[in-house]
Amino acid sequence: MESYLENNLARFVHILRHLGVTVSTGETVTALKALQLVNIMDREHVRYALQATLVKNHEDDPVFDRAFSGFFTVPEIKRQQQQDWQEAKEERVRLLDEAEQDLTYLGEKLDLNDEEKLLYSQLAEDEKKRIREYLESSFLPDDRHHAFKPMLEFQVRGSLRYWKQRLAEEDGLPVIPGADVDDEVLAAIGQNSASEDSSLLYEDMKRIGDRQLPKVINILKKLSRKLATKISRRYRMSKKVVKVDLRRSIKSNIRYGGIIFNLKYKQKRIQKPNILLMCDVSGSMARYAAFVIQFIYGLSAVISHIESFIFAEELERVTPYFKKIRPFEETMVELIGKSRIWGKGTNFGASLASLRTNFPLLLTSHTVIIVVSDTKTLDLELAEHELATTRRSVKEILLLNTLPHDEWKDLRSVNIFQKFAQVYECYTLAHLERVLRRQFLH
Amino acid sequence: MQPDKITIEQLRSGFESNGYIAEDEITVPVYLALRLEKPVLITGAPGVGKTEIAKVLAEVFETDLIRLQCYEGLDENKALYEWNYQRQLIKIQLIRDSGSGESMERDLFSPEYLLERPLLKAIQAPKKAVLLIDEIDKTDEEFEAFLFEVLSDFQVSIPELGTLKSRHIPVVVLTSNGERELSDGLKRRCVFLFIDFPSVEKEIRIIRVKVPEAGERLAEEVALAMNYLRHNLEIKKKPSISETLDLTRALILFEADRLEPDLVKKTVNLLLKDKDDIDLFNSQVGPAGLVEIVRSEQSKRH
Repeated sequence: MESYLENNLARFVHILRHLGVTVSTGETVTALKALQLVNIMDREHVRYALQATLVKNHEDDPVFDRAFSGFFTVPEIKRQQQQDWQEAKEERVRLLDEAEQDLTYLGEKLDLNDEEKLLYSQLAEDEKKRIREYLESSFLPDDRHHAFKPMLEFQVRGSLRYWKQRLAEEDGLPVIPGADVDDEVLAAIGQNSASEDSSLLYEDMKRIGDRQLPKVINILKKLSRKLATKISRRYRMSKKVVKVDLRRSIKSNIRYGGIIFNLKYKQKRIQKPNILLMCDVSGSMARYAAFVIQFIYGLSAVISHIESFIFAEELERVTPYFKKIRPFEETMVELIGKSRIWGKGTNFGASLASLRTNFPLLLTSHTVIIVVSDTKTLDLELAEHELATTRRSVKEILLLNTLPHDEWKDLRSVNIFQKFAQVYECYTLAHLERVLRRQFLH
Repeated sequence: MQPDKITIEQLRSGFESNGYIAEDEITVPVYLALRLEKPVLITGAPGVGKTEIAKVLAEVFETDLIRLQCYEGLDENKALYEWNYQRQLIKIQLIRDSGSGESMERDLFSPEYLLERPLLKAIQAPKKAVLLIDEIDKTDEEFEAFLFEVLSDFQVSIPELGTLKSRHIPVVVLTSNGERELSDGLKRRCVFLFIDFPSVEKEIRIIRVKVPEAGERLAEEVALAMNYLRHNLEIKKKPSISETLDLTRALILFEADRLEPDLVKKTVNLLLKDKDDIDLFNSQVGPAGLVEIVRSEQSKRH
């Protein structure tokens, strides 16, 4: 019985971790002790005991609720989950087999990973046929086949990557059955998660549909208000005692005949960071920009000294738009209407050069530049040079990269940014909140 | 009653007899914290009854409530102990005048000159005390790190006196309004409890317990009005339970037995404490609108 409890708890913790909740081993042990103190047959008591010992952020409660409902469920649903998961696994194996049979060169399988094979299996029949025909028609008439195969694999990979990106931009990536989920409960929870409002926080901002916009705007308002309160509080001078101020102590104790009766302390000074935002509004970035600007709009309402710029081929200062107190929608319409660069190509180097030349006073040792961009830019050399120069005059450069982390290694531009800036993955609202909180509230 | 031997039923009845309406979602985590002898970290919006839990626990166990109110800049001197510097100086002056300087230094650093602050008081208490560390999110991170060191060992080293170990591990209640993210280290050591605004049913029960003069209908209408304001208006400072009770008491003073637009108009300042919130309420709902909504919700319930 005991080991049954321990195994189940370990599996439940595994699920929570997989869903992004941080649970330490110590907390798991505490949860086990807690379970021994409550009536294990009372479902609600078990729920509250696990919640109190494993989940330490209220924001994670919806995730916990989903995991709990999925895990501690009636046997019929459990059986159904098991069956669905089994079917999904079989379907996955079938698709992988099919892809392996299709993607061959002179009878030899191409060296592709499972994700690539599954992506191939989700393509339209025409596209699959095109890839197959290309493979069939490609061969060298001599004995250099082995040397030629890696090149073909490289090309097929490139083509699949293109499709992955395109599908993501259009209407979301296809659902890949049973993808890398080793648990039927997780598979079931994963399928249900998309319907939850809270999952908007974890949704790629570019895929958030117009229908969900009011909810997103509400979330952004809450986030920006919460952060604004925190930031302004941290700006206040700390009363924390650091060390005795001898000069002031002696001066104020002369009346006691030189005996230092009342001590005076030196106070710690907290320097406010000056935030300068540069938001990429080129074609591929416009959707993200709208969300980030919404967020900054919320912050600007409370914190006065945020300087905001948008950039694409060149740079435009947009701070004055946020100084006027009026609805966000009006601000955005005016901003996009008047902007000459919205939706154009990106030249980060030229934009940064323009910032240095036209607004030199904004670049001080207290300035933190936040760049929101996917790093894809024309003239990478110029961008590198300008980043290096600007970095020397400011406190810090943060890049909020809207590309997922696993794509960074393929891009030279990200490597260059990483030399001069702290680069953070930031394509969901949750990422955005986490980065700003870590940077400004600690 | 011993905190580390208590049962859920005893705790539940203890809460009830002290007028604290708590369901299992509150009772179970508090019970676990007591039994596991771990601090309980309570978060939630201001005014949902976080601090009250510590006060009620002190009543339930008939022990002292030692309160450490946190603020920005709070340091070990204010939280743990401090030497009574002024008293030490006077002593030095007296000894200097009388000419007896023997063993002066040892005397000056004796417990007589030690000012015990809440943490040390809780550790040194002759009986298991309830230590309330209120609004921990207002302190600095360094203090938080220091605090969780004290909370894990329950002992304090004072260089001049040696190590003081706790006689009883106190019941520790930490509260946070969520103004700042607390460190993972502190959260890991605590049992976590988030208290949300109460449901309409729970709020009716709270009103009936705390303001018994209020009739069933008035309590229901006030609870429905509060529930509407909290969940449907984008107000900055949502009305708390204490504001609900203030409103109910005010309505009793006006001898009201139900909500009326003119009464809402007179008492709106008790609910909404921010000018923007009041403007928003007046422009989007207004007193008559609120009463209408409450009545329609009330008819759905019956």
